[in-house]
Amino acid sequence: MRWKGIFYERRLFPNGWVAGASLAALALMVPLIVIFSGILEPTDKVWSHIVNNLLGTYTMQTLLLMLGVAVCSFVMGVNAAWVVSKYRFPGRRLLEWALIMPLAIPAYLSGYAWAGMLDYTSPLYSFLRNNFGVHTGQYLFFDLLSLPGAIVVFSLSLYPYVYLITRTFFQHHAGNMFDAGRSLGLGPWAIYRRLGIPLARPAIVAGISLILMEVLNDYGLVNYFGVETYTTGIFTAWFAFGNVGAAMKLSALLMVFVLGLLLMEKYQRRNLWYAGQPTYAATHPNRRKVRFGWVITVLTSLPFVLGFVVPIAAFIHWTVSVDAANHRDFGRLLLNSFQLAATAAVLVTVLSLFLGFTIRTFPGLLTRVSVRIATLGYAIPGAVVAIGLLVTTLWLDSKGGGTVLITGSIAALVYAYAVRFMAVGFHSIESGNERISVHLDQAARSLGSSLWRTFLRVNLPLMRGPMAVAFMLVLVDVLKELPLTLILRPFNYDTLAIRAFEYANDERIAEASPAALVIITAAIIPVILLNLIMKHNPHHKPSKK
Amino acid sequence: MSILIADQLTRQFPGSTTPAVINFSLRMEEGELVALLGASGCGKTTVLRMIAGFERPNSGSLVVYGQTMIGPEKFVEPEKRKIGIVFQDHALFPHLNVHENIRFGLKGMLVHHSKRVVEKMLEITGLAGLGGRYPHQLSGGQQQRVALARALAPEPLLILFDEPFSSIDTLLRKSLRHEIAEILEQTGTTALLVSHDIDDAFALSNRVVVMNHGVIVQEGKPVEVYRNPANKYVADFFGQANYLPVSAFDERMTGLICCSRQRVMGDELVCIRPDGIRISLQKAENSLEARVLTARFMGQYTEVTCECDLGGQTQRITIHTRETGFDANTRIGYLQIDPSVCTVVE
Ligand SMILES: Nc1ncnc2c1ncn2[C@@H]1O[C@H](COP(=O)(O)OP(=O)(O)OP(=O)(O)O)[C@@H](O)[C@H]1O
Ligand SMILES: [Mg+2]
Repeated sequence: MRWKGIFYERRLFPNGWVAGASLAALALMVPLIVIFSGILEPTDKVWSHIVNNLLGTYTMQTLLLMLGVAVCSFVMGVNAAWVVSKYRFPGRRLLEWALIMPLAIPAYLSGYAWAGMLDYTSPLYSFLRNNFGVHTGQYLFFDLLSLPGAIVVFSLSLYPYVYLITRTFFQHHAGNMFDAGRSLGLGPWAIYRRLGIPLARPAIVAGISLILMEVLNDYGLVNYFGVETYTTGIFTAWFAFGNVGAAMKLSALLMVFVLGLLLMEKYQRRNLWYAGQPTYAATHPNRRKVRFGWVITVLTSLPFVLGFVVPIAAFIHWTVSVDAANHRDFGRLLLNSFQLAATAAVLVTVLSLFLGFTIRTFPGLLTRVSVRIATLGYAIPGAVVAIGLLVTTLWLDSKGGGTVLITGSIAALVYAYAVRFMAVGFHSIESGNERISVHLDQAARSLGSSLWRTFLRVNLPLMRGPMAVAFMLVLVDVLKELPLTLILRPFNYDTLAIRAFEYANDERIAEASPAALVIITAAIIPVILLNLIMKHNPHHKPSKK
Repeated sequence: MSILIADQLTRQFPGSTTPAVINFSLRMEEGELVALLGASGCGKTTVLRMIAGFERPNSGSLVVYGQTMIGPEKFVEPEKRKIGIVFQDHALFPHLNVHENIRFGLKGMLVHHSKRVVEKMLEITGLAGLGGRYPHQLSGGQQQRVALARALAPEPLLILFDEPFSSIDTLLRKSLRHEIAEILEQTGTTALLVSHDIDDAFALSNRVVVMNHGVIVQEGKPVEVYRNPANKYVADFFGQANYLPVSAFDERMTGLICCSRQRVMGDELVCIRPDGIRISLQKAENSLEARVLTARFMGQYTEVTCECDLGGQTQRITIHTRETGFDANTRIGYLQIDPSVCTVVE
């Protein structure tokens, strides 16, 4: 009983719930702390080799990639958001949500599909060669497997982030400002240039920051396209040089980029101009009719077609045409993937429920800070989380008598997923909690329920919906995850994403298709869900999910 | 020449069963200030948005200063109409300062010229010296004036206000109303004001148009509409009223009250404003004795409720009087009803 006294009466923690939340936050923060401690590690030969020969390239290519993706997704996403919000043209309503769909295809899968299609040996190229005598040298149009190619593919699959957030702004948060501009004599394009873009700037920057975080997180696409970013550097350091210290240092450097983006996103989001309450007219706008509506239809549907329809069509085509013998161990893959994803999803959901109830009941500073920390992982690239955890498990194993027990275990992998995807689950639980009056809990407690009983008998039953959403979102995110899984998976333990990655790197992209299709099919569900949420609750700010 | 001729404008929103605005017709002369009043949801904003060009009517026509804006096969986009609008939320552009906001509509004007216009507008609206501020650095009343200056700067043919004072607190509202009335007069602007506050209408307009459920129910000078409401809706909208059955009055009074009406069915109500009845402590010729129930001092007037026998029935009447001497102990008062302030309503 004495430790309990110290624990509570010294007011370190007001009670067990807050203490639990703080401990959870601490545990989830371990990988990040470990990474930053990497800076203190003594430099060795590998690290000086990287600094002298590779770091410049990594920095340059990472920056160019970020810049390119920012520009391209701005062009695609913001224009589309404006056109869809302000004009009337055939298929507008369909496109309004179809433009979000590319989010369902992880960038690396989109990259494999495009690479497979535009390959010198691809049926598309042979067709053009044989029937039209097209000879453009080694490449069809340009070498897709390059930095510019990666920029295009990234933008095609990630622009929906900026599209979605600016569309919401244009449709719901600009009040009467666009109408005011028109009554002052400005035509629609002048309004877009002089009001639309400047007013939406915070939304645009926030959306692009999210996109760039995804770019920094990626490994599959940059690896295949031969772009040398920090993430590729981390993999090289660990897999090629076997040097965990160098991987840690690179991770810490990568985190500097991430923190920059994070700050930018937070700052801009706070600056978002909300022009009063959305008016009836603003939410049911009278869209302007355009003369050549179908031209707009074609132009606006390009990002959707190139980012969603084409890759899916390619994967379906390959799935159908590939020899069935290659699908032999597909059942095992499915089982592995879904088991892993479901385990992680359950862990995250349970933790989220606990944190959600704690912050609801004890919304003090300590709880808020704990929740912040616990949900920080969404910003940390998967490779960084993985290296952080790898170092931790290696250390634990060395202390535990030298046998490799934790390193490369399923438990470590699931733990890493929890670190990375905690925010996704917590966010849905939190928004569920916001919709339930705290008076319910207070009524239960005044009727003599303990906190535990209130949690189990009142909160949990009401959270069934958000629980399901949290579970599903995390499930899908784990299914799609690649870099973290690559580093931490148990030896020879294959998942769908890993298999797609391996086939692609063996130049057998067609055989990667069934795995890719399963991932994409699962990922479509949350995208549709997201769209529904945004439609019905325009005040919902799109975060990572 | 009429500034504005709206004819039979009708707007039905897709998905709703009844039109939001039905056959709205209005004519406005140069320099006129018209207030459009009505309960929430009666279609006022929709009328305004049709005139400004943000909403397309299903039928009807609109001519502004001789130019057809809406007509068969014709629709002029809002940016081509030269109609200014001041929104309830002011809709100031947050990324531009006051000067830039006001200059926003002055396209194609030489810089030094537009600068002069802005300076003049700042002066007129009492904002001199605030040109460099951003909207969020201004008070509600100042924002309101910037919105007005911005709308006035391009010298629109007509200016529309949609509930311009509803986001401003009562005290400020009063002074702002007078200021704006002055500015509009000074610049000779024709304005259409939408509001559901009758004080706005009284303070700012020469003419009021009252709407209910998408139709115009009455139109006229503020005092006419106040004294002689066309129906109970209008009467209630413009303040408190006593309703007495026609049968409560004798032949002579009925004749005087109903002189303008062709026939009287006998079940109409007579509407009398609380300040339309005189009450005094002294008995006079033709006065009616009434039992005073309560007398409450309200500041500008004393509110007296009393009961009296009219046409064989006991009627309860509320009166606002400026006479002194009425208090909680008063028992008896004497009423005098002036037939010219009585109106028959359905
Ligand atoms: N864009 C729209 N789409 C569908 N219905 C609409 C739209 N705008 C308004 N309405 C409906 O038309 C009716 C009239 O609305 P309007 O905004 O003109 O009323 P109002 O008189 O301005 O009311 P308030 O005083 O509350 O501003 C309302 O019933 C409203 O619900
Ligand atoms: Mg309105």
